[in-house]
Amino acid sequence: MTKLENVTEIAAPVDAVWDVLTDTSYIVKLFQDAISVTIDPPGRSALGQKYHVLGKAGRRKVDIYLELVELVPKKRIANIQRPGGLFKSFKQLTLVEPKGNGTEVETSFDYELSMGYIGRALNLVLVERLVRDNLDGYAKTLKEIAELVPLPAAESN
Amino acid sequence: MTKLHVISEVQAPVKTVWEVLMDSSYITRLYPDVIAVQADPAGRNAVGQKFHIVGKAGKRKLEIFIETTELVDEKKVVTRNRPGGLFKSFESVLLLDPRGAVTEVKTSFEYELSMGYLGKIFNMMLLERLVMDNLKAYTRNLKDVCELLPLS
Repeated sequence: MTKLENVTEIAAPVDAVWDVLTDTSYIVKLFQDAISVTIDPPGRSALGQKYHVLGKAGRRKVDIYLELVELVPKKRIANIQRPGGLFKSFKQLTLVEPKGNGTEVETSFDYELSMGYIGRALNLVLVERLVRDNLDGYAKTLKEIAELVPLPAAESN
Repeated sequence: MTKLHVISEVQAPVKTVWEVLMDSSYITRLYPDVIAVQADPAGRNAVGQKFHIVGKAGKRKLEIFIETTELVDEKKVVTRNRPGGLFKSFESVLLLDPRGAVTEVKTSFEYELSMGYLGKIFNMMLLERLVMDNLKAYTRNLKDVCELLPLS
């Protein structure tokens, strides 16, 4: 079991951070090697929502199956893996807390790769590295996206 | 009006390329500076389906509104802009030509940026460059994604 923890300060209000965390159309961008996601049912994050994320590892596609199991508005959101795919076990917990004019985001990932799934097609050490890079990159990308400044709507056309 | 034409040979059958083009969740991976896409209605690409795309330019969010206007199964996809957002006009045409296990993809983009207000916030030359870089990357990324092999 591998555990990664990260605390990031984001120069954006909780609302903006929460909006990114619960808008499923951001999922592919938040993980650098995700290439597509199927969401069931479609729409904003909701308890019980299931995700089939397609990622890439070298020249190969990998499947990741997740489910949203915890959602406390503007406070915490958690996903765990469903059977099959890259992970034998996976839990992602994101905690959101206002801090001054910004937001503190605490992210933790607990996971174990599925040796049976990876098999002989992929190099385990490289996959470990790739997964770690993606999970490490998550908070950084979340920060970048949440800190983007919108164009004033009334004048944007 | 700016035009860009690219021809690419994708080492994957036309069905694979078509599947990627019909699934809007790939869009954020195909354009480097697109960060989110909302399809209305949700689901597979269809004529009349509308997309609200959020992109980034520097520290700013940009909006792009497009609509699928023509689909010919495993042959052609045409997308045009809707009013508002980054483009004053935009059209992309993708033509697929199956060649056995390989697919030739012809992509053409024609667009004009919405000046005026955008020009007060962005350096228009940089924005033009950013858009062109994204459109050039599209075909390359489409090829990369389509050529990925399943694990088993």
